[in-house]
Amino acid sequence: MKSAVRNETILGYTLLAPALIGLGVFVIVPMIWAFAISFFQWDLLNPPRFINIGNYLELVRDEQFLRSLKQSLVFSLEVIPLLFISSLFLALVLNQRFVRGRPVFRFLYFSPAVVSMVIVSIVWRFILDPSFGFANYLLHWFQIPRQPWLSSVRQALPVIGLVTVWKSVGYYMIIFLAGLQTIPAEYYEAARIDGVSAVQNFRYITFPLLRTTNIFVLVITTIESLRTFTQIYVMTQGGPARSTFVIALDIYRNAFVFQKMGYAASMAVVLFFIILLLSIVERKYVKEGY
Amino acid sequence: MSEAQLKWGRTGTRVGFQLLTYLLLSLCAVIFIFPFLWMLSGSLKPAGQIMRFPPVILPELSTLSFNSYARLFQAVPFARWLLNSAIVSISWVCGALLVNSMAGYALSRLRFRGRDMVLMIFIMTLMIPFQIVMIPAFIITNWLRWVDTYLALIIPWIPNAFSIYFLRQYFLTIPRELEEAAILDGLNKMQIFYRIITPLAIPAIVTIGIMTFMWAWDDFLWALIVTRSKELWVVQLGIANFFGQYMNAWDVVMAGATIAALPTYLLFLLLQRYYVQGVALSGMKS
Repeated sequence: MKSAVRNETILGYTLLAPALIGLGVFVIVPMIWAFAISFFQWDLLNPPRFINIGNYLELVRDEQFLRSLKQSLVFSLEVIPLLFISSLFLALVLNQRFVRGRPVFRFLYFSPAVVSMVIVSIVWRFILDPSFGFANYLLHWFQIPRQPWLSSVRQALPVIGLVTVWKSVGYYMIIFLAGLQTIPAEYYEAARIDGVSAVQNFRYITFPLLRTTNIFVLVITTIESLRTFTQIYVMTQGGPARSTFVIALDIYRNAFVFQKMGYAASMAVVLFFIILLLSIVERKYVKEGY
Repeated sequence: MSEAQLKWGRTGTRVGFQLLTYLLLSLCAVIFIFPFLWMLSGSLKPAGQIMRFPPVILPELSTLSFNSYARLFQAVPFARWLLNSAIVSISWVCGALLVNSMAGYALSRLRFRGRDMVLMIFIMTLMIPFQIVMIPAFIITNWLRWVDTYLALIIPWIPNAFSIYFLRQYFLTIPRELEEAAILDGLNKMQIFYRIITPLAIPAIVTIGIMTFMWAWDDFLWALIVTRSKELWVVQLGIANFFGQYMNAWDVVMAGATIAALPTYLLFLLLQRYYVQGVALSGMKS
């Protein structure tokens, strides 16, 4: 009997081994190591030099970094509420009992989520071209003057935010739809007998019972929007005039263009703590809201 | 107001409301599908037409040309990039199915010390943002001398905590009785895994297969970091770089984008149900 237990232990760890090693080498060790690297100066060619909190002191004075940080936060502040509200709204509309052809709509809304961010960015770059893009044609049709979109310091970042929302709204809609399925129909049945209005239905039944889904979507969209990289790399490269330079782009540039591994790691650590802090606040705030 | 009038009025508002809903749903459908149609039509327009303003909305059939596709394969090693993406994605999916279902099985059907702790650790890795592991992961890849090889593109992200968790949850729903019957038939734990559990878990395996394929095919940042030579670029990287180079050849760029978008789009079209299930569950797990 004892050997059977031992055999099962051996088999268990053998089966787990590839996953444990893989996640250990590429996620867990790097996670801890990133903190360590952030106290060093390291270009990968010369041996790392310990500089204590030197990187962090530099960060505080690095105007570009502070600007990237601010722009990341502004971007997230646009994307998170827009994404949350529009995906919840679409899920509610699609979830109405009389709606036919639900799979077709679901497919169409979700399709941007399965196409890569690189392709989505390129296609939107094409549509948003200031001189021949379809977006300006649409405005032209409504007699609105042409807009510079991505080549404008003021418009570029918000426009990238809209593209981001366009790409992922279907994804979160699916998550909300799944959340809506978990609400027992009896609640609405009871509310209907009491003559509750649609708005009250939402306010007192749907929204409160979606609590876990709400927290999940809020936390994930926060992480995703703060680490936005690809769409900016492809659409504007941080320009014009650094107006779309965000923290993920700064990390990438410092690590892989300037080979400042330690400095980039310290930025990543700051980003990590911002994400951690925000998700704790969101969890707490949403929980207390009920 | 008579009873009948009141009833008619109510039905009227309801029909109006339903009509409005459909109108809204259709408008959204257009918003989500139009950019892809525009991409496709852009790839088929002759070079002289693509940068015209106002744009040609419906190009005449006789002017449609596949020239851009021909130029795409001539101007850049596009076939090579597609092949690289296929090699990377398919190997990644095969590896992921094997590694993650093994782990999922161990975490659901075997009993041993430290099992729950391993599960906790796996779940915790889900909360770590990629940006923070990216730099040390690159340094490790560099030490392993994997930079600029297929290994760097395929191996690191094969083990995935979400996949393991998803498969584990599915394995847990398979009745124990089947396993007990198999033990009476003289099957050992390994045989139970591949003869009993795996065949019964096909839906979950398909879901994870599709999700992994999407991650692999659509991945950009990691490929950008670990590949240098043009011959090793995956299609996403190729398109992003090629886009900088051939900014004005929009028809060619759109042709590349159309081809690169097809695999995941078609896969989703065919196996929508499985994929949606996976996404839906990702929201439940919290």
